[in-house]
Amino acid sequence: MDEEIKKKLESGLLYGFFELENKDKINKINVIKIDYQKQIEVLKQERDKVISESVAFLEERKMEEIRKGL
Amino acid sequence: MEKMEEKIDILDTNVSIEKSKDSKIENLEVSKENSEILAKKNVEEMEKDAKELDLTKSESMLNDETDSIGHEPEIQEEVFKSDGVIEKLKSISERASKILDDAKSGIKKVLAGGMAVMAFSEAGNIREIKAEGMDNKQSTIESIEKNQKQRYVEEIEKIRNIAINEPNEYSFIFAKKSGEYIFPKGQEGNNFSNSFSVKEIRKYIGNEECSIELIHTHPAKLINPSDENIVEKIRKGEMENNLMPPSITDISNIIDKKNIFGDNFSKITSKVVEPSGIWEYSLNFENSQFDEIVNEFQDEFTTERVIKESNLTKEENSTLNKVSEYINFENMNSSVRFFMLIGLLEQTHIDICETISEKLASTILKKEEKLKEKYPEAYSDFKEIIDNERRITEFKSEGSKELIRKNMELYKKNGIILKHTPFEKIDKKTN
Repeated sequence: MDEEIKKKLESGLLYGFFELENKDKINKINVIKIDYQKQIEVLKQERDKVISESVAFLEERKMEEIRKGL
Repeated sequence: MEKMEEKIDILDTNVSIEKSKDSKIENLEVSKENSEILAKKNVEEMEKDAKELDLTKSESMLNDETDSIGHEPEIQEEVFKSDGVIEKLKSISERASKILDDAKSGIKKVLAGGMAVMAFSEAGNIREIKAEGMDNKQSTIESIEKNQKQRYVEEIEKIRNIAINEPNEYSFIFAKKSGEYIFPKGQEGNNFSNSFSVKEIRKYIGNEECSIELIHTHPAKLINPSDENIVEKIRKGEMENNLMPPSITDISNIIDKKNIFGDNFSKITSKVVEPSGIWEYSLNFENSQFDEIVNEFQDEFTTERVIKESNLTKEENSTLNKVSEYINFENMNSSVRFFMLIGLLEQTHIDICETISEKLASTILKKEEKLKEKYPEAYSDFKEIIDNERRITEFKSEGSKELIRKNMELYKKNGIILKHTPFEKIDKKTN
């Protein structure tokens, strides 16, 4: 499209509404994403805790076995 | 073109359109960052994040960590079972899936709940469709025995909490009959931006003694979308008041309602609830042409009208129809439709598509020019209001506050009356 037409189009009311709509949605999507990431981060920490507790438990049990073996 | 394989439906398929070998279309992605593209990108990233918490992945991490300890696999499994480790990981995986589904559904709602600014014939249909799918709880009304003012403040406080906590806009209808407020029972609001169904409004204002308040929220999280602690700051009173007044879309919507409800429009009060207070906005166009330009703008820019007036040849029409099939236009307003379409047409680099896009663009420009000539002052103000609103990035910045102030002056000049009551004042009045 001719640059001149494009420029005129982008300075019009209709394009203004398009940009407003876009901006509004982008902001809301970003907010949802930030919220999502926060919640997922909490779950990741919970998962890591479950795994590390299991590791600690199994290590302790192994030590016990070794002690008994001695 | 017939062999194009994918329709653009952001959350279900890829945005890019695969081309047939003999087509010149390389990639029909819309170049500028827009909400549809961003939604797709974010959903992909979120799915990747949720996959990290998938049960198989977590089990594999667990095994990687525990295998080296040297237990027999049977003992390891028995420990996991007796400690409920796998159950815990399964629960985490399921919660991650649920959070992902909620976020995806939130994004879908954002994409669908567009600002219904364009011709009512289009926006109205969408609103009616949404209304059908709405929770029916709003249809039962409950008389209030408690002190009216107190109950009203309590209801507003609930909505304020929604404005503080929820990323999407929610809408509510309060009715007043013979001096007594009635609130929809079990009111949860609907989270489509300012989208009250005409049918729903008529149900109330058809009654002679009944007036209504149409209330929607402006979410606190939009004060600064990148600040994840914004809600905490507001709760702790660590945020100064950041005014979030009605937008030009909100104003266009009530102008729309004025046209639809005629004399009964006087029974409707429009309000925005945001964390700092309540905005009431009303219209008085005695010395202004603002309603005329908004109405004409809405009438002139319907998809059908612009396409019809672009005098496309039969071949161009058929090409346009084919290209249109590859975007899910269903919930887009006219402005988004046109610029998505023009973007797509341009990027094909096919002569006929470029001709169509230029014809559409030139029709839009002619219409804009006509509006500018007919309503020079109102056009200039309308445009300045839109441009100022586009420049508001964060409600809390000094620059944005200045733009809000300018817009309020322009609204006043054009017969749009805005009144802001801070929550402290509402609290004092009731106590």
